[in-house]
Amino acid sequence: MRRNSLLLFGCVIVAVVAMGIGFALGGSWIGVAVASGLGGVWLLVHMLGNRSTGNLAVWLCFNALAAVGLAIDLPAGWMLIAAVAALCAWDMIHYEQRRASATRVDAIDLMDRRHTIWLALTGGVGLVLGAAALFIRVDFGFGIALVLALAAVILLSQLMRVVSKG
Amino acid sequence: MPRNDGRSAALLALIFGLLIFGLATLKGGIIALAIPPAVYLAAALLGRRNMPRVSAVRTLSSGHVAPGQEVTVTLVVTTSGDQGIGNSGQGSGMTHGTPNRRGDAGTGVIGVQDMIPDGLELTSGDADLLTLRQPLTLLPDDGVVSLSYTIRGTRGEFAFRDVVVSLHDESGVFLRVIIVTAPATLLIRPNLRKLRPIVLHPPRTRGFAGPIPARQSGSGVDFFGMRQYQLGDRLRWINWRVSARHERRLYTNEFEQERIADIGIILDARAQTDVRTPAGSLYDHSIQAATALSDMLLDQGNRVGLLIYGRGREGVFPGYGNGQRERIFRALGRTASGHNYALESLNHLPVRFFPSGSEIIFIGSLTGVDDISVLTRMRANGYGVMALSPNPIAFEAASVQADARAVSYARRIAEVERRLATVELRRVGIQVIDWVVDRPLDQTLHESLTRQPAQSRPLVGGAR
Repeated sequence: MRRNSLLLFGCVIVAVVAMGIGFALGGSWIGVAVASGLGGVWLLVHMLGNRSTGNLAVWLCFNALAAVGLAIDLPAGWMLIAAVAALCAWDMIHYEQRRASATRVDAIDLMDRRHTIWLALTGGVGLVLGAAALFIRVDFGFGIALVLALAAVILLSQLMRVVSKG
Repeated sequence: MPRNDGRSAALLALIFGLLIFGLATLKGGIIALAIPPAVYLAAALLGRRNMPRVSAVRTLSSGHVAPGQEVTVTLVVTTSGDQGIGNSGQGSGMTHGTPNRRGDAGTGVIGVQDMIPDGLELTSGDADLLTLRQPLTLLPDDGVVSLSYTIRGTRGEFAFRDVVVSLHDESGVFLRVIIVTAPATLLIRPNLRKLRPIVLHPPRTRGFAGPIPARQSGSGVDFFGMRQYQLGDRLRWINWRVSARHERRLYTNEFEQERIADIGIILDARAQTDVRTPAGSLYDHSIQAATALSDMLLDQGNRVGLLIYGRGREGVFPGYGNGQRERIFRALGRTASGHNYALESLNHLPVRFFPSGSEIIFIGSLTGVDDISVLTRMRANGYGVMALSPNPIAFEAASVQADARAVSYARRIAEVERRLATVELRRVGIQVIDWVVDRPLDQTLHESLTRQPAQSRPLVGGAR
C-alpha cells in the first residue's frame, strides 16, 4: 500500500513538474499555476476519498491542459510526459480503490508487482509511440493518408463497438 | 465490489476528443497525445479476452443447527474449465457461470463476494475476497479461490444462492461480473427449552405402553379398582384386607393401564392473531411452546403431529421418535406468521388431519373471530382439546405506556373479553392455559394443569 501511494504521489508530481516545465519554457506562468493547482486538487481528492468522479475530472483537465499547451506551441515532449504520468496516476488511484473495496486481499505483493510492471510497460510503450509520432516525420501521398485515415476510423469504430459491448 | 464505472468510455472520449481537437487545430502533437491512452485501452482489451469458465461450490459445516450455533461456510470458486470439485451432498451446491471465450484459464484479478442472506451474522472470516487468478504457477491450487467464514443466526430457513464473481483485467477497465449460483440451505431450528412431563387426558389412547392413564384396568402402577379373583390372577395382587371380610371369596386389585396417545399440535400462524411489538413477536413464543411441547410429548413416546395454520397449511403427519422430532423442528424452524385471505378463519382448519380421539393442543392467542366456535366444534367431534394461549394483552401492554387512562381501560376491557372466552372454552371441556410469556412455560403448564376444573375432563372415555 505504501509503495503504491509513493508511486501515485510520484506520478502526480511528474505530471505537474513536466506540465509546469512545458508551460514555463513557453513563458506561460498561468499554465504553471493551473498545473500546480490541478496536482494539488488531485492529491486532495485522493486523500478525501471522493475518488471516482473527482479523479476522472482532474485527469481529463490535465489532458485538456496538455492539449491546450500543444495548441499554443509549447514543447511537445514535456506535454506528452505529463499526459503519460497523469494516465499512470489515474490508473493507480483506480487500482487502490479496487483493492480497498475487498475485505480481504490475497497475494497482495504479487498483485502489486504485476500491476506496476503492467502499468510501466503500457505507459512506456505509449510514451515511446507518442514520442515517435511527435518526432518522426514520414512523408506520404494523399492516397496513403486517405487509407490510413480510413483504417483509423474503422479501427476506432471497432474499438467503440467492443467497448460498448462491455 | 467495484463495478465498471465507465472508465473505458472516458478513455474513448478522451481519445476522440484529442483527435478532433488535433484535426481542428491542425496540430499533430495533440493527435500524438491520444496515443498513450489508446495504448492503455488496447492493453486493457488484450487482458479482457482472458475470461474463464467460472463455477462455485458452497459447503456448510451443518445444514441444520440450533440458534446461535456457528456454521462454517466454505465457498470454492474455480476459474478454469476444471470440474474436479464435486457436489458434496446436503448443504452444498454447484453450478457454472458463463463459459469462457477462448476456453483458457488466463491470468488477471478475481473478486469473489458471497451473498449472505439477511438475518445471518458474520462472526469470523470474510465473505469477499480479491486475489490473483493465475492458475499455473502462483496459486497452490490450480485456478481455485476459496473463501471460508462463519455465521450464526436466529430461527429461520436461510437460502444461500448467488456468488458475485468479478473478473478484472490488469487495468480494471473491463470488469466482468458473473453471478454464479451455488445454492445451499441453512435451517436454524427454534430454541428448545425442556419441559417436565405433563399428564394429558386424551379421549382415546393407543395400544402401546406409555405415560398416559388409559382409564382401563390392566398392568400399571396406579390403583384402578377391585374385582373378584379369577384364575390366573397374580397372588400378590390379591387384596387380603377386603378378602378377609368375605367368606370363601378372594378379591384382587386392578391397576390403571398407561398408554401412549395421538397428539396433534395446531399452531396458529395467522398474521391477524399475531402481536408484534419492538420486543418481538408473540408468534415466536408460540413456536417456542410448540417446540418444547412436541419434544416433551415425543420423549414420552406419544404419536405427535403438527399443523401450522396461517400463511398456508403446513402439516407434519403424526409419527413417533427422533425422526418425527426432526421433521417437526424443521417445520417450526422455517415457519413465519403470514396472511392468507382464504385462511382468515379457523373454519378451514383440516381437523381430519389428526386421528379421531386425538388430544389436540391448540397454540395461539385466541383472538380470532371464530376461534371459540371452532375449538368447541372440535371438542364436540370427540377430540380432546387443550388451548395453550400466549397472552397477547400482557405481551402488548409490556411495550405500551400504561400511564394513560384510555390504555388502562382498553386493557381492562380486553382482559374481560379474554376471560369470558376462556370461561366459555372451559365450560365445553377445553383445557385453557393462559400463558403470560414473561413466565416460564414449564411453570405455567404445571400450575394450570394441577388445578384444572372437573369439567375439563374428557367427555368420551375408553381405550382402543
